[in-house]
Amino acid sequence: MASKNRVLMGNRATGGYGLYVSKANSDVLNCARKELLFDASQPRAGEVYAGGSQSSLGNSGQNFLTTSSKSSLGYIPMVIHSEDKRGEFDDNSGDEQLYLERIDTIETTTTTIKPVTIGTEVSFSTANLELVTVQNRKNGLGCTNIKFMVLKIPLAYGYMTNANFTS
Amino acid sequence: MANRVLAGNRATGGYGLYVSRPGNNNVLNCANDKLMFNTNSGESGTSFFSAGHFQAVPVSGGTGGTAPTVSSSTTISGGATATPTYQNIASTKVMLWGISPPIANTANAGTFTYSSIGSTSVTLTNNASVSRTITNLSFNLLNTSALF
Repeated sequence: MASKNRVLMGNRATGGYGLYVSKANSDVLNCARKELLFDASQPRAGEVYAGGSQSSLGNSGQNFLTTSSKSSLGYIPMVIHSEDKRGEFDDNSGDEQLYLERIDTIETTTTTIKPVTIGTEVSFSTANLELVTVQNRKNGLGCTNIKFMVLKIPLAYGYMTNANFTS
Repeated sequence: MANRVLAGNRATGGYGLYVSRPGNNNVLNCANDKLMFNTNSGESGTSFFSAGHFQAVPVSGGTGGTAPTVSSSTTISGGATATPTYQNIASTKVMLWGISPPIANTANAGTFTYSSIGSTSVTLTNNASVSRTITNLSFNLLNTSALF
C-alpha cells in the first residue's frame, strides 16, 4: 500500500495556511476535510481545559478551575461526562408516573458542574405539575463515579457567538 | 495575515508546537483561548493553555495503515452483563460513554451501568428487564488525578 502524506504545515488548497493532519489512508494535501484529524482552518478543536474523576458528586457541584488556579474561559464550556447511572428511570407511585429518558444530566456554569434532574411531576401538596427538583438531583438518582472533561468549546445560550468562535 | 503556526520557542509556553485559531490571532502572543493546539509545559493560572486533546480510545485498528474502529455495540439481555473491550491506550483512566434507544414499555425501563473499568475492558450491566443494544465509546481521560 502506498504511503500517504499525513502532516502538512503550510498552504493547503482547501483551508489556506495552517497545520493539518489527516486520518490513516488519507492524503492531507487533497483529502476531504472530514478526513482530517486536525484542521487549523476550523474555529475550535477539542482541547481539554480541565477534568477529573470523582467517586460521587453532590448537589453543591464541583469547581473545575481549582487545579492550577486556572482562569475562567469567559464562557460556559462544553463538558463531556459519564457516570454510573445511565439510560432510563421510571418511577410509579399511585396515579403518578415519572419517566426520564436519560438521567445522567449535569448543569454547567463558567466555573462549575453540578448533577441535576430534568423533568416534572405532580406535586403531592398542590397537585400541580412542578419541577422534580430545583436544580438538584432527584432523591435516589445521586451522581456516582463521574468522569468529566471540560472542552474549550462554548456551549450555552449567549456564548455560541462569532466572537467566541471565529475571532 | 497573522502567524498561525509556531514550531519553536514561544514567550509563554516555551519550546513546542502551537496553532492559533483562525482570525487575527497571532500564535506568538495571543491569549490562551485563542490557541487551538499547544504542547504545554506545566503552566498554571492565567498562563494555563490546556491539559491535552480530546481523543477517542479505539476498539481496534489505529496502527500503520489500518484506520481505527472507534465504537462498539453490545446487545445485553435484561438483567445481564457483558464485557465490551477497547485498546490499552489510557490504562484504566478512560471515560466510557454509551447510548441506547429508549425502551418502548416504561414498565421494563432501567439504567445501564459501567463498572470494574480496566485497561482493556469494562463490565456493562443492563438494569432493565428487557434486552437492549448499547453503543459504547471510550475516551482518554488524560490524567490520573481526581481533578486536573
